[in-house]
Amino acid sequence: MSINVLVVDDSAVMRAMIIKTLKLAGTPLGEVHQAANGQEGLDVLENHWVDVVFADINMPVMDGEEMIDRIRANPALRDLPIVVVSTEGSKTRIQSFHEKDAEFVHKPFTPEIIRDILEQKLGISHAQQA
Amino acid sequence: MHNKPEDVLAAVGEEVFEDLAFVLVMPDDGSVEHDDCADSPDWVARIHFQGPFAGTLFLRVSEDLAPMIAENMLGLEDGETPTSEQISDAFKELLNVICGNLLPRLVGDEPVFAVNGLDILQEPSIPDAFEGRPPVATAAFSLEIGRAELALFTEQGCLASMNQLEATTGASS
Repeated sequence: MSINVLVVDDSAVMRAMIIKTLKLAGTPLGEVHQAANGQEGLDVLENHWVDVVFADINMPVMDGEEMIDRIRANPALRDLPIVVVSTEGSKTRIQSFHEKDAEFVHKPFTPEIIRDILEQKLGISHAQQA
Repeated sequence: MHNKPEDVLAAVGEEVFEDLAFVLVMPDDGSVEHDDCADSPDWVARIHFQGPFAGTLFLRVSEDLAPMIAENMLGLEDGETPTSEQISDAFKELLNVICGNLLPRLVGDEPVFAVNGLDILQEPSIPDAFEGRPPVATAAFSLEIGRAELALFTEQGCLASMNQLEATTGASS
């Protein structure tokens, strides 16, 4: 089984890093979609089946928090797994992401952290690594 | 344990250079000076933050280091070279991550900060003073290729705020 992912970050380099990390973690990737802000992310979700979203918070046009709120308010998307990937260091703000049923990964991250989040929190299994 | 801001800045800078940009920081032999090659076309960026106190963090990297940072972050293969846009993007993201990791190490994980104004500057070096004040902390790095430096400027009186927040939250331990 492969999973379709959406990576939302205003940094193209960070999007590439997340996708590369998913591959290094052995994630069975299907379609990989990218968006540079929350609005673009919502546009992708309107037109494509996505299994998990990786989202930054500080972005122009629409930030990640508003995007998450809109996803959770949409009956068709409200259960979509979301992983916030951010530099945020405030316990209060990280807790607020958890309250929106989103996982949190702090930058910088490792393939092991991404793999554990997907497996333990989201139930997505990975290929065995050599 | 109470750590000086410059020690925290150096530690966070080293960690992020190694963990995000995959660039090895060499042991400091005291040879890296802030004014080294002041006329070379280095890359300089700054990011502003606001919260319990406001400030600006500057990052400068030598011209030869900037493409390597982008190559490593993108995982480019041998023979592939990053575009100038990718180099700028990687450089800004590096500073963004350093800033995001620095603030909770200075004042703990209770305060909420907002970051903005992440810009690459056309200036060849980090200014000696920003908004009339000298940096509260600087750190210089010798890396496997090139060199880098960080400088943290904050609003007046912030050191007292930092110490108070640190004492409350146990940061820097």
